[in-house]
Amino acid sequence: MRIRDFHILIAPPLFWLLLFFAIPLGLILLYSTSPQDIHGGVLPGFTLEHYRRLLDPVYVAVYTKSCIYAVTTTAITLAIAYPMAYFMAFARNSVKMAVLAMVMLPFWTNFLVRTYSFVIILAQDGLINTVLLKTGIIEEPLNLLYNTFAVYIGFIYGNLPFMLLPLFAALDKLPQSHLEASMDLGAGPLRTFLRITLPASAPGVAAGLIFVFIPTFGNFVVPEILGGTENMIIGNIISRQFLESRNWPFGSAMSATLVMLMLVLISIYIRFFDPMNKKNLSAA
Amino acid sequence: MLELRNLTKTYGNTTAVFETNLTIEKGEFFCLLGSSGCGKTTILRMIAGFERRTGGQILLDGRDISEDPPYRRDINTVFQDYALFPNMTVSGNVAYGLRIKKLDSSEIKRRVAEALAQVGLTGYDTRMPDQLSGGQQQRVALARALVNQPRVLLLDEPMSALDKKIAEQTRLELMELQRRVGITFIYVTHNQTEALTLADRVAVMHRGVVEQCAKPSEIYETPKTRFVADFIGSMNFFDAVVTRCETWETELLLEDRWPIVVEQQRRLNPGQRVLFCLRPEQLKLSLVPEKPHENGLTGILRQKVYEGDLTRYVMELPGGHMITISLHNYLARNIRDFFEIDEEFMLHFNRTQGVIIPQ
Repeated sequence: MRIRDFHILIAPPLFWLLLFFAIPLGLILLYSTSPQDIHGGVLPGFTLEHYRRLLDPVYVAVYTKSCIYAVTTTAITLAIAYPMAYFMAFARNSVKMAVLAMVMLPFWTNFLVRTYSFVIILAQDGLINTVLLKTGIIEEPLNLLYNTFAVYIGFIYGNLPFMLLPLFAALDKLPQSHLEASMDLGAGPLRTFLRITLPASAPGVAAGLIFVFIPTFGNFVVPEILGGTENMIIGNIISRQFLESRNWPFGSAMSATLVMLMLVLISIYIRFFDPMNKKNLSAA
Repeated sequence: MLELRNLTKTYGNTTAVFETNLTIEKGEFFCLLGSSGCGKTTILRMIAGFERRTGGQILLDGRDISEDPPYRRDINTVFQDYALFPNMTVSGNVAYGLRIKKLDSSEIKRRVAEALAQVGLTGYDTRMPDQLSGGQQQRVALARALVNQPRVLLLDEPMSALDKKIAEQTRLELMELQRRVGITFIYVTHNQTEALTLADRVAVMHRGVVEQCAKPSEIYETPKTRFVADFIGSMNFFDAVVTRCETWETELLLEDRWPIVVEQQRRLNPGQRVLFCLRPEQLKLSLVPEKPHENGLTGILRQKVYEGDLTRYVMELPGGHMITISLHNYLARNIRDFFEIDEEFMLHFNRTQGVIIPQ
């Protein structure tokens, strides 16, 4: 039997993708070019007015702000996750497993619940303020909640595992002997890191960047719960278009733009890091 | 010259290497031989600087280097898994050490080409490591270390991943290469054939201790301990008691049964317990009694195994003692068919042969 005879096996996932991915995406594209029905929903017709409206400085500013949030979050997450992943990769097996378990464990709780828990931790009468007040380190409670700081806390906390795991996977594959070989050939710890460790972890870094950047860019839950009014980003505006302003076409246009932006980024990633090992497949 | 003085390494309660003293001469091909876990790799890693010693000193040309990190030691390593950098080409790998030393690029180019020529890989410069066979990868690893012209080159079981034919070929080339470059080689292996053929001197290690350090012929012909006698080649052992000892002649009673005479210069005391060892190739099967310069035992032939160049016989002596004898097929071709299983034969060996190890 040839491999072609098994192509039928692809039917269930194909059906799934069509139903829950391609059709909704098509609907969004369709809505984004349809005139608005002021009672919600869309009217038949074709227009690019919604896309034109996106160029309004107000929305450009929102896109820019979302981008800044996403970039900053990704950078901080990388800075925290890299040393952690490095430590885990070169730790004893028991330590490795324990840390991995601690990273995975919070996933058993709903993301919304975990985000709300930060309200309890960061509030004026919350955990941090209470402890700091009781120990006399501060006199007045700190403003930790409903501001940019809280949004970053939520973003970084929620995204850390998505950065950590691909980094760990990449570093864990790096044999100790490669580091030893580099040192043996005269390179000190810093040069060994730059020339051996960093290139070896590059696919993990790239995956982590994508895994963190994309969900953060479109996230609306964290700013909604932990942010103030000035922390609205693109996700919040989109959800508002659908739920409050009843402007489905404009919300769809924003979503479509977001999706296209992601597609560009992911294409760049695939181009440079070849995560599915296409080059080797075609060579074989 | 590399000196190890009382070098010791312990992990918690286990001692990996215990108070080892070795002096390795400049330009020597030195082999550390032992089974896995004997401490040979630990010694190598301490010399390279990957492992910190618990006690003792490592001196390179008289200077104590035991506190230096690996990147300050004028020593390079060929790793067991080769440890080639997968994101660099062959020449990138070989040039790595020179680039770190900030040599100018024409000099680097010249030396990389020279090193690749030395290991027979000219023209492979732009290949990636995963496009090479195991043997080629091993050569790249060798070139990457040699190009730095270290004072000592460490090789950690470099041939264990190669198949037998290629390993044999590589062995000869390695000997040739070492003689040409004149760098001190320290070669770790569990393979006694490699050790005996390659090395100027071999240190046989067992449980963190050097049992014997000598030329390969000495290790094979006059082992100093039971472990060495047993580990190298195959050996027949007899528990024995000295019954009489003169300068050139010793009388032994083997296994409380068989008196023999050994004509070797030894100083032993009557009544002393010793171990008497005989190599299978030192023994002869015979149909006739021994000659005056020989010792003779009688036994029943139990096994006969044809092995191409030789035939291996197992003989049972009275008391159940099993002895292995190997006879060259070329020399003993005509009489081979006379030796039938479950028949009684004589076993002869020359009086000058056999090794006495005091217990």
